[in-house]
Amino acid sequence: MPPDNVDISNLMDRASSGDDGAFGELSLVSQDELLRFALAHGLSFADSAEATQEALLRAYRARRRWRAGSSVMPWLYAIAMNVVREIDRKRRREAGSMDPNLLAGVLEASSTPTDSSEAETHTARLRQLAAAIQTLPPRQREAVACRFLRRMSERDTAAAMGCAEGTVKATVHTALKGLRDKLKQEESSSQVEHGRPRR
Amino acid sequence: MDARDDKTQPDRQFTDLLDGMDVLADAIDHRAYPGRAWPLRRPVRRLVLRVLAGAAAAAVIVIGVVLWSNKPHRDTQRLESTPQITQVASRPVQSQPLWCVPYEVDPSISGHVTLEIPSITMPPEGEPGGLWWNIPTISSPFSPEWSNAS
Repeated sequence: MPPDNVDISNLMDRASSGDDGAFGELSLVSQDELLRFALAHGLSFADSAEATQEALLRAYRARRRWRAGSSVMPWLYAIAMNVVREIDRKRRREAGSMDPNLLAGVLEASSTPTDSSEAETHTARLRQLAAAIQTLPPRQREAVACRFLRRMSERDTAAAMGCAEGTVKATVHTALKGLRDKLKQEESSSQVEHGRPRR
Repeated sequence: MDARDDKTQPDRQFTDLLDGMDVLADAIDHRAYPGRAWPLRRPVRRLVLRVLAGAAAAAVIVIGVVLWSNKPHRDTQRLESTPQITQVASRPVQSQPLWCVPYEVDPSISGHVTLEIPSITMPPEGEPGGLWWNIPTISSPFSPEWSNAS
């Protein structure tokens, strides 16, 4: 969960008036959330760690422009979103496309191995969902990651993406429809491969 | 505000998707940044690399200056350490005393030459008169009295 916004806003107020120690505390309480934000957008763990550092560096450089009393996390999310976009573009340029299993990798890192076939099927569906999220168009992927993988409000998502709340709502709806269609299509094609006719 | 709180009616059509994304979100929540993200390690690394590069450049400059300043000294040493064959050739000339008359000179005219220093005579005190030079007569094999005597 994101850190308490009031507390870290106070830290940012102090940091903007020249208290570097306060910025250190702020980075300590926000670094995990920034890392998770980058992971939710499909970056690898190493890239997410780099994105966290870069976002904090940019926040530090922009600390003089901070308006006292504002909310810190939406501001940090907006900075982190730009960093994530840059790294994502760079990786796609280098590799041609993003590895669709990067997001599914977080499941492997947190889940415990189970023997039941039902659990395996569930995990396979989750992996399919994670891969499908990564194939969404960039804006839809961003909206889904913010809203559902980081459980951000529409307002915070809009602030991070730099668009209106209504746009977020519409983008999320389109993305969910696209995901549902894609998963249904994959399910039916796998049934055909296994010789089971679609009902 | 939680994403679930403001779930709109169309979102309810995607319950299965949202449940799956909840599991993904929980999995992401278990990840944490390893160590501290601030102060940045990368700029520190850059700083260290810059310092090392600067030190290397300074060392190269110092070595260059030392070598350059030693170069004339080496030339002098090279001149001083002349090959032995040169030293052998020059040794008889250096060992000859400066006051020696070369033995191959055979003076046809010989005799005694007296050299006297010219002096000035002053008049006695209180008497009028001026100074006069006492130029000594030079007696040498080239003077007329010598030629008359021979």
